[in-house]
Amino acid sequence: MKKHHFPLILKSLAFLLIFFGLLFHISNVLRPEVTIQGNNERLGMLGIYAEPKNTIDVLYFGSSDATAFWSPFTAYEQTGFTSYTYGKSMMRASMFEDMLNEALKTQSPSLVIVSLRTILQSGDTVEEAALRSVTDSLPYSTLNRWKMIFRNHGKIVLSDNAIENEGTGEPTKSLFAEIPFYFDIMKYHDNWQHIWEGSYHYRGLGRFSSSTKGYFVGTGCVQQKRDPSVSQISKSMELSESAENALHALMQRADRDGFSILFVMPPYCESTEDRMRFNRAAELISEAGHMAIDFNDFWNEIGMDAENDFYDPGHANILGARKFTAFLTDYLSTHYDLPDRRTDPRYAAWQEGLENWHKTESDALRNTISKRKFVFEDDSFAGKE
Amino acid sequence: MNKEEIFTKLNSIFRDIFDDDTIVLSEGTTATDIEGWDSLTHISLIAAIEDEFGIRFDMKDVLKMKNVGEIADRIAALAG
Amino acid sequence: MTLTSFSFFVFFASSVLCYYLLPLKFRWITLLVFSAVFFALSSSPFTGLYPIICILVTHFCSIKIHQNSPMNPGRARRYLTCGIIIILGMLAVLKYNGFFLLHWNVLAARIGLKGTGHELNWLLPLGISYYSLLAIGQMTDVYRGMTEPETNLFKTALFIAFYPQLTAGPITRYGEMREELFTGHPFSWTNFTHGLQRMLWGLFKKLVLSTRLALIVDGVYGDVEVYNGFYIWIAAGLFMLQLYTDFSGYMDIILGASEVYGIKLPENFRTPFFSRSVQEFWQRWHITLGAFMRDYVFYPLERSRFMTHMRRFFTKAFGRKTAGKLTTNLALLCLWLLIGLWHGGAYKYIFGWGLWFWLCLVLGQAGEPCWKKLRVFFKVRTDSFSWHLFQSLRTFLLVSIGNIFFRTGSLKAAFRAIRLGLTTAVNPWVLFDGSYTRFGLSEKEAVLIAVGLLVLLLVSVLQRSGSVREKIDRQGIVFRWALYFLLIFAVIVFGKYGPDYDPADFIYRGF
Repeated sequence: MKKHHFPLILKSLAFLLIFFGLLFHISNVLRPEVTIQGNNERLGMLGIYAEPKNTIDVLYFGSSDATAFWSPFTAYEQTGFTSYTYGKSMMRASMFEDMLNEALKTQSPSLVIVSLRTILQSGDTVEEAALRSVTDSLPYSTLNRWKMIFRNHGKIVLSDNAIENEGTGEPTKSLFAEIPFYFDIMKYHDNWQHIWEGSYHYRGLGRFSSSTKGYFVGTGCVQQKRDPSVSQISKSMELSESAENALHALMQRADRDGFSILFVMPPYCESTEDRMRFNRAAELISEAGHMAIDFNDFWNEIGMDAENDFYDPGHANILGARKFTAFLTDYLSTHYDLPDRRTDPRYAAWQEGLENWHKTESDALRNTISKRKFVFEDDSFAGKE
Repeated sequence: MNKEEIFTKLNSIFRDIFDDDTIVLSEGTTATDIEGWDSLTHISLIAAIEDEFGIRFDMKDVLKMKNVGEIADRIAALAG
Repeated sequence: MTLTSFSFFVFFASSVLCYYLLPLKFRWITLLVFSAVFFALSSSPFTGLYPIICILVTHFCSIKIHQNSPMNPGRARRYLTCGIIIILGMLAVLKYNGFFLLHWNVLAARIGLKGTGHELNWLLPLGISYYSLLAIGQMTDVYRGMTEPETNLFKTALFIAFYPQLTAGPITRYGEMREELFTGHPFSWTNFTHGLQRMLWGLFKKLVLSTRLALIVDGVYGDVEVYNGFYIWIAAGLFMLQLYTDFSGYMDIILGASEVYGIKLPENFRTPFFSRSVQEFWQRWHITLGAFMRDYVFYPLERSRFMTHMRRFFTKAFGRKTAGKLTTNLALLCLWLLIGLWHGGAYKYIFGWGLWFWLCLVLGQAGEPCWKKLRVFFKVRTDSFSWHLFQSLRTFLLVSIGNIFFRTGSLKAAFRAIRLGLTTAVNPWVLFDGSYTRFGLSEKEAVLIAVGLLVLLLVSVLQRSGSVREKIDRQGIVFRWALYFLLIFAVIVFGKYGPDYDPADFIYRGF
């Protein structure tokens, strides 16, 4: 390399640096805003960066079957340990490892609770919407985002294909079709027409905390029918390769870092297949020396009510989440050594957050109960929502 | 035929073709100096010159002759 | 592989890397290899046969023509004719067979022949309209003694198939490309950055402007019964702009990419909308095609024996000047019909488009005394800005009308559109009542188009006084980089590319 080339190379590097800086910044702004029942899941997920380092005692981790069931403030109020519900709806087995690594970058919980349902249901391919649900919410600056997309190389079923084939389409073989996952601005640039002031909220990490600590407040109410005999099934069923890999990877990480890991199935109207998958997973998990609990076995102890506690077949509303969280919290406090932070001045923010939470909670309860009445009066609406 | 004769003849052809009695040619006169001398009239001009001097340019000349000086040189060469 | 796809940029970056890593002497080989790869990636393998035939014919004939031309001009001429016939024959069979068969079938039915020919549905090989002209040009130049033939077959191959210009021109001459292609250019920072800047500007024109203008144009021409009157004329003007941003944007990418290799290709556009006459327009629009047609069709035609006799005959009857005009216009008529045919085997190109431009030229010329009287009557000062503006607008209008034939499906459809444009009441209110939303454009996009076109105008004005990139080079680094980033992100954000995004498609149904 000749000497006079040096400034040019330096200049090019500076140019590229600015380019990628701007690219990531603008991409963040252009990502679409999705709110479901008033919950902004993306903020719920990014809120973990706003938590002071190493202040979360329990990480409740998983897909929507995690975020709709665990309410950290309910647990905090009850026994005083801090927790965070970390995850994103549609998160598939092949994304769990990188997501856990992401959470553990800033937090070192003594217990990680993994909600199993979506892992076990995952096949070996990944729908575009599922992968995007997670990677399009993660910041560009984190390596785990890039790893996650790379890990799913050759497994992605593009949306058009998935819709045509009702979710069973072949994954794309084209590397070029995967590039828009790495650079989601290629997908969302047309969103420039819809951005608003709030779109700029996502600029920096750690700016916005989640007022529910990642919990997704379900406020609907749709009656469900539960078959209690499912809990009696003892047969098991093979898991997909990616589901098994995910379980092993999560347990390895726990063993390596020395934190406890607990696998759970939330209480819901479990299907026969889900139960059989759980049975298989429980075998694998206990072989590795860890524990898995299906909380459908404790339906009556928890006090779950299929008619009132769900906003759809797989997800609890605030009523159900409160019952489940309270029950699991009791279980945790007897089986794990978790601290009480309620009088600790370093956790004053939690005490403030709790007051805020009470307001959110009472609004949500009122909202849910009003919907429950509506459903009772006109049964023809049930199940259509 | 000497250069001067060629230029006199050329001058009258140019005045006739481009309808302008004020044209005075020099060696360096090019298409940009004369209004109307463009790619369309170029061939008519060439044809008129050929008829006048009783010669025939080849296509290479037609394409390469860019100013009056070059045209005059070719005429001198061809007409002998 | 289109030049605006992501895969092209990967391809391009790797070719540039290989190009500059190899020693100067071998750089042209990189280009040849990448041209072959480009062809293989963008076309079905079978069609690769045609450029190979074309290269072999060009190479062989050029050498034979050169060998024979001093001693045996008749033989040289036969080689030339033979070469041109093969090339044109290939083009005729592949591109125009449908057009010819149409007539053959009609004729056969008339004279009572049974059985009709079927259209050959062969793939039209990529770029054949362009490289055929390159081949004809090279052989003719050798015949005319304008250039030496190439002795290295692979160099001929690169000249014919140099990938940036393969798909859309510019139509180059061997004589001017020899130095550019084969000498090997040392890396130059200026070429590198200027090339990339030019590609970026091309992408802006194509992805941001052209694709959006197309929405309106397609909408109007999709249903001229509904969008009649003023819509037709607006769409005609917008199509002109769409064509310009698309084609010249493509050229910017091609010329920019070549510049990155250090290769300068001839310009194809020089701010055509400033032209003050239709004739001038064609000297600034698709310049290399016009120049090719002039040198290889128009001049030979005018100097043919037939035309020479014709001119002599007219000279006796009407005098030298009128004779010149008559023969020139006759040759021009052939030329324009041929240019029309080159654009596609359909009457809308030949008679609508080609003939229209010929009429514009001839009527402009023939009516000159009349125009002069009008100018005197209206006391027009021909050196004023307003007159120049009028001339440019008039040219724009005339060319836009011609392009209605280009855009519509057939000759009949074009006449119908023009009829509807003339016979329906003009309602300029469509400009202000948000009608663009009917074509799938939002208000914000309409503003974007307006701003984009203003930027285009500004750049065109700056281009009139020399290279815009050199002007930018003279500015400070903060301004320059701000400008580059602005343009880069304008393309990334406002460009129409990538997987479609519909805000509605992300509202999930349950988790």
